[in-house]
Amino acid sequence: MGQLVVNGLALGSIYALVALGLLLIFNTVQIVNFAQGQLLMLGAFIGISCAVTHELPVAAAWAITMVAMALVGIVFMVLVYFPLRGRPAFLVILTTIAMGIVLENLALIVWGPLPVSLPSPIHGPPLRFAGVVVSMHQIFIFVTLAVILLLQFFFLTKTRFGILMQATAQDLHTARLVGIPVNRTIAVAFAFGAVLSGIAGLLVAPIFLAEPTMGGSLGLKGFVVSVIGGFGNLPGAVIGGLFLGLIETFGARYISSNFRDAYAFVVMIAVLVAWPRGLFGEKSSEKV
Amino acid sequence: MFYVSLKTSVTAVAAIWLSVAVAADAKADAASCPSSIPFGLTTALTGNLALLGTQARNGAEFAVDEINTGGGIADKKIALATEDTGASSTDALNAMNRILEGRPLVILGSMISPHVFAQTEVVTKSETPFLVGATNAKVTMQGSKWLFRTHVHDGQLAELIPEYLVKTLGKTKPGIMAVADDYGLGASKGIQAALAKLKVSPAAVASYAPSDKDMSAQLLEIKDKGADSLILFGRPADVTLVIKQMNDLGIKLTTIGNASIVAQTTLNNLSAAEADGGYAIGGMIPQTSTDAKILDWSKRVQEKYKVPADNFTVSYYDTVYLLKSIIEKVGCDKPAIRDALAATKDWNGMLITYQADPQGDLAHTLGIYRNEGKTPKLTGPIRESGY
Amino acid sequence: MRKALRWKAWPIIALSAAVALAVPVIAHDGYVIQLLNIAILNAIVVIGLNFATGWAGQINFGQAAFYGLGAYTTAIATKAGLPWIVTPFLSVIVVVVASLILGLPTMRLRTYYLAMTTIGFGEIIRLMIVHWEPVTGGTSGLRAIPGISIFGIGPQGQIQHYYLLIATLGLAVLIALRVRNSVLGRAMIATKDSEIAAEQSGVDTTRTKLLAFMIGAIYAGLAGCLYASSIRFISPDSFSGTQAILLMTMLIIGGMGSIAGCVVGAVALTILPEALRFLGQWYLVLYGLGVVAVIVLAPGGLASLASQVQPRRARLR
Repeated sequence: MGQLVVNGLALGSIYALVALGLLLIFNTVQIVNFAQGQLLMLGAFIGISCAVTHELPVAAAWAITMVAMALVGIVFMVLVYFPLRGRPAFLVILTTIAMGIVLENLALIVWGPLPVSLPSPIHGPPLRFAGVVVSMHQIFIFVTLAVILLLQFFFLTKTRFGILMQATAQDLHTARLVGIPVNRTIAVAFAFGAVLSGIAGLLVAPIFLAEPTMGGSLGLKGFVVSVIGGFGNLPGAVIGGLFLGLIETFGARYISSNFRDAYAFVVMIAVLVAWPRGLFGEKSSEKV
Repeated sequence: MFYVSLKTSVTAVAAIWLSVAVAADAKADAASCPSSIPFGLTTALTGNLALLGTQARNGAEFAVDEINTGGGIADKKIALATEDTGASSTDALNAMNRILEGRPLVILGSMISPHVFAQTEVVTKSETPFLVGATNAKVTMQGSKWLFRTHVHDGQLAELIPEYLVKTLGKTKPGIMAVADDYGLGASKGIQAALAKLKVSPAAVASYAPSDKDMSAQLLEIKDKGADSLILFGRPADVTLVIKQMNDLGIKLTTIGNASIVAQTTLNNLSAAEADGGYAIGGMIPQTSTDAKILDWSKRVQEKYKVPADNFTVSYYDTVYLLKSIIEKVGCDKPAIRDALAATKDWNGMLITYQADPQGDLAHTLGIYRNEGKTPKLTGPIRESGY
Repeated sequence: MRKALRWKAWPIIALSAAVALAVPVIAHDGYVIQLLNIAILNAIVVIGLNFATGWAGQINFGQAAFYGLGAYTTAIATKAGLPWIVTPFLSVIVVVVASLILGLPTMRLRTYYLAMTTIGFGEIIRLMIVHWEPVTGGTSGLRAIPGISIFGIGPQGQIQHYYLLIATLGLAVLIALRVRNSVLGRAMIATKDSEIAAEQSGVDTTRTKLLAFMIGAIYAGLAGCLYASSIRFISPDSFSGTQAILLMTMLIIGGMGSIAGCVVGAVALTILPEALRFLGQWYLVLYGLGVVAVIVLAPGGLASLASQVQPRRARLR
């Protein structure tokens, strides 16, 4: 059973990273990016292009991928956010879904459908204790999540720009009136959001392999996590993600593996029925 | 002026009658085929089944190109029209309707059973020979006398895998893990029934969605319930993950399953230690052949399509050549081709011989493979009893 | 003004009806008619989707699931030996119950949460169909479904089905028009524009949203019944999440809120993938970009582009 906990938490950490990326964008511009999973896939493939095709050292591959994903995030912002400012929410949802379809099929054309592996930055034999196996890569995933959380917290609350981003998140219009460089904070949000997904992709590819359709399911789980935790909420995303990973793993083991994907949705619907704003509540309020 | 004499009209009628009779006779001879012999092919070229579906196109197209370069069938070239079925059976039906517009002589269907189920009625109505690789056992039980299958099916695998596992490998408590699509679930059911006949009950029966990445929960269940072996049925992409995760978790179980375990696309992503020891029973693959010509064929197919050839590629390649040999004998007459297919006996394909049974199944030989490190080795062919 | 518009619309309606009736005469082959039959069924489903999403503003990714529920109910019932005439009623009952199960707990939810819930609903239904193999045939689907038969009489061949489906579509459009011009319809549109304002004006928005949902589900369920009885083969992949997204894009591209738009969008996006099959993998890339382009440049869809043509004509006079 301990093994289920370890594997569930590792999976949940990936979900949490996807949700964190979604959060960053949502907090700033009230857009839920339904293509977040495809950004994860893009990060994985950029990493593979560097590390496998061009045989660069893994650390360099990571660095290049993060920079590339930041640029992708900004391009995404230009294509999706600016034209759709002020439009109703479901049009935005459909636009991001369509962008996801574009990215997935471009990836199929460029990289083909065969799954590819990416080496992990960490090597070494797995830890074994109390009948549980923890691989080095799983530890790397936990450590990365913790580091990102700390960095994000520090950035948003202790640096000047981070505080400006929070202000923009609370009220865009007022922030602009007060002279906050709103466009810059939005760009940073999109860039970081894409980078977070890219990192998730780099973490996933060594264990789950990368193929162009990998984004759909992982992205969907990321949204579920955001819903459970409540959009706009950092601790919510992390706790929600870890929670979902555990639920899926335990459900598949003890209830039925046939309905594994359903557990996420059932939990999500149950949470929403009881707390329509998610377990931890949204930050933004509805404008009258 | 327009008066036609009795003599002229009788001669005219006789001439017409004679030419029709001669033409009817001429049909039974390849020389009477149209200058471009129309073959139809429907398979999944896009969508989530494309990785599998393109193998049908690869095998069929490669054969057609080879034949045409060599002059065609009795100097008539084959024109292969291909339609993409996409991922849904509605699209598959539309694709079949489009193919039928071109009035093909024969149609090759895909290995995706739900698509073939959707297409059978309309093909049967058009009275066109329909050759498929679809593996669901019930495909040839639909009662269509125009449908033939040129690849081994899940019914045969469901019998042979448990038998090999229990009688030859001596395992009595298998865990079953299958991908939750038509391919995997159909096989899983058949395997459970065959195990019951051998008085063996599985330790656990699990499945995973085609897009799932983490199968550790299912593997742990199978291990916890004391299984001594694993029967694994999936596609190369997910089978790779299962084997990897089994290794990561330190679970050591004799693994036997379908051809995905020895497929090149699976082995490319596994280390030698991970792949070693896995058994597979299924349609025969070219990579383990000792015949240099077959290995060369496999290399050329991979060069052309950038994807390694698999058991389906071979099957569709053989199917085109089988049709060629039949058309050379009976000409471009659909009922005659159908009859010849139903009478197929000991026709030599690349790796197996084909023989028609009353249901329309032509393939009865499977290969048993075992991975030595990352290289699959052919342990031997097994023939379905009675063949 | 509404009366004048309706008067202007009659020639267009008459023309479209004439074209629709003439198609089987012009196009003999089975492929085109079969494709149009599927397009007409999709149009009925999209008109249903329009109630909840286009008018009441409730995003609904579960429409494909209702479509599937109608189809499977019909297939299972007729294969079990029940007379066909019962199946439309059975389908309606099943989808109404399902829409209540989905709708009642979710009426309070905001857009993104509602979207996720409907996606989840669709996925759960699909998993149930896939794994309840003895009843639904699982992933192999159900085939040899008996066709439409009332007292032994039923349409034979695709052309007769076509006429039946055109008639059904006409009925669907008429009912939708009646709803739009009714109190309920106005309540739906008011709810979409501003729920708070609508509540202030005395509209029971929860009831309105639920009714929009239910009527939409009924449309999809009945279309599913006809799908099973005319195509006579169904499998879960025809009612998946991808199909749900496709239905949404049909609504958006055709023109949300416009009944004519629903029909245009459905026909266009049923025929386009077939016509553009030669593009292979690139088709989906272009499709995605096309959806983005329509949303950004013409959010009212093709219907809004059409209505822009009219004022110009009026000015020319």
